[in-house]
Amino acid sequence: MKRSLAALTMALVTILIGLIFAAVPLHGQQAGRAAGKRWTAPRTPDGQPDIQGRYTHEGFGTGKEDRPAVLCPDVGKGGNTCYENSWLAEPKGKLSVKLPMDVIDPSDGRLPLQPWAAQKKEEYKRNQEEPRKLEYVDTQTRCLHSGVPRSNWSIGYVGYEITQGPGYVAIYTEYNHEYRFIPVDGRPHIGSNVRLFGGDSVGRWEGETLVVDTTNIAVPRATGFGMLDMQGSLYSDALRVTERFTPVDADTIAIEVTLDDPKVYTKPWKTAGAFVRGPKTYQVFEYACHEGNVGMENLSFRIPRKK
Amino acid sequence: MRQVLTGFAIASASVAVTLTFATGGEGVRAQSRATPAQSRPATSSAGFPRTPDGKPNLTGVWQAVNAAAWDIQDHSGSTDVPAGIGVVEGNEIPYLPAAAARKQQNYESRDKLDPETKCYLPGVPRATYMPYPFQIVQAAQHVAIGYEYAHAARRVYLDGSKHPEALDFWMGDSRGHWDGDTLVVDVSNFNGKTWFDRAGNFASETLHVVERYTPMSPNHLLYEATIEDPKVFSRPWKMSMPLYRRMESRPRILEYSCVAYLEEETFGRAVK
Repeated sequence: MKRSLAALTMALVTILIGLIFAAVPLHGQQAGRAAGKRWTAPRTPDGQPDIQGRYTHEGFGTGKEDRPAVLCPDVGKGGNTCYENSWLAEPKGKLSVKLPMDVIDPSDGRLPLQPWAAQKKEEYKRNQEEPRKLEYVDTQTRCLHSGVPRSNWSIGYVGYEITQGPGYVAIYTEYNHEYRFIPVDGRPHIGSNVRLFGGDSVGRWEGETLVVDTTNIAVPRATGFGMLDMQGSLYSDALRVTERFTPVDADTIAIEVTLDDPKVYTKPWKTAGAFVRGPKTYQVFEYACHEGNVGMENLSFRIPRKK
Repeated sequence: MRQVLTGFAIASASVAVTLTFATGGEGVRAQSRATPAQSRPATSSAGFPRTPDGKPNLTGVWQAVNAAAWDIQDHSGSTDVPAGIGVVEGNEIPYLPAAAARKQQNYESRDKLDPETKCYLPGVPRATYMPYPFQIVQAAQHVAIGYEYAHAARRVYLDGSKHPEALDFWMGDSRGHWDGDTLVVDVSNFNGKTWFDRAGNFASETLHVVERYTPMSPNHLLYEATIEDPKVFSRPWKMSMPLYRRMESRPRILEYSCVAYLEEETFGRAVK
């Protein structure tokens, strides 16, 4: 009974959000200002393109198959509402240019999962409501690192703050208070035995684009895999991530993410989205996830504990 | 059954606290440092790296090297606890009587009550002197601080903005300004759940911390924190310690992913 009530509420909320999205004209359609023209960002004192500020994210699909149609009415039309953004009643920023916002490679928008990983994903979806194994609980519900690249499309209602100091780009993800201190001084990666949930990121500026290469990725040992979304799309410790952050106007950073994980996917794939500058008054704060994690307490009682 | 027991424990603890209150705070630590109060160490910003706008550039990886994480006051060594000369000026923490009793109780039940044992965010100033480094990236209007422990983080705004109203945080809310070559950070909006160390020293939600980061030498900062909390202390008090620049070539903080380790302890390992 409780379940069906919850389902009904979800359905109503879903329809409501769908209506809101349908009513709001898509930013991308009004755009095109910068099409063909390259924006040149101001420079920081040490000569980096200055992308500092507070942002929210838009876009970043993790596979067409996971998006309820109502939540993503514009999928396939180049729009920018999609599954992860269903948290937002309305976008906090606004896009002035049209950008890809989805899985952009492969072109069918579906994740090139290896058969076993596709099976795991189905298993996850079947079990996530009443998980009897920890692996059926999303890593975000468990308050683990979002890590790289998921921190780029962290839960929708929190933001980012970028700070640049000499030789560094620091990206703060409000959700679960994750800092990435990305050196842009040409250093090599650390030794491969040091594993980090946030990975080891090294960056370089290629003209106006910050290219960040991330390796040394750790996965939670209690389950053996990391998760890219709330739908059981997995990643392994073999994941290598290349992110390209390009400011395309004063308020928008276009982001393209390549994921290469030979243990889980049949080939590298790409997703795209953007950081969109928040209004002047927008602030990011502390999202202390673990400290108040009632969700996990409620979910995990069926999951066997270590003896 | 366990709940009943816990309830009983809480009830008993309350009785104990009430009794201690009634005795007029015999828990107050009476002894103070036998030696005269430490004088402030010499500081010099000569040779300290600077930003293009002429401020000391704190960008780098820093770490305290002392035993304050275990106890901010003078203490002898014991199993897994290194001895330490305290970081509190004059060594005495001016607890109000009820708070002194609570501190004692915290100490006795520290294995269960210390927020660190639950992987909670450590608060300020505790994050500074835990046995892990932290990293700073400094821009003109904003100082980003990330701690290796539990990826705790702070953003210090230097833009003249004020603390938000009616919001509280584990790490507090930090707003800073420059006083000559000293970065002064006003930290407020605490949630009252954090401790100062593993010895049970604590504060409430009325905690107010003023931190001062002053260059001592090209590779050292003097860290001073004035602690004010009218619900817990009878007067403001101060701690100070040097912070050491990590001198490895290209240092970086790594991770102490407490929550992930806790999960592994609770549910076991799926992979080796």
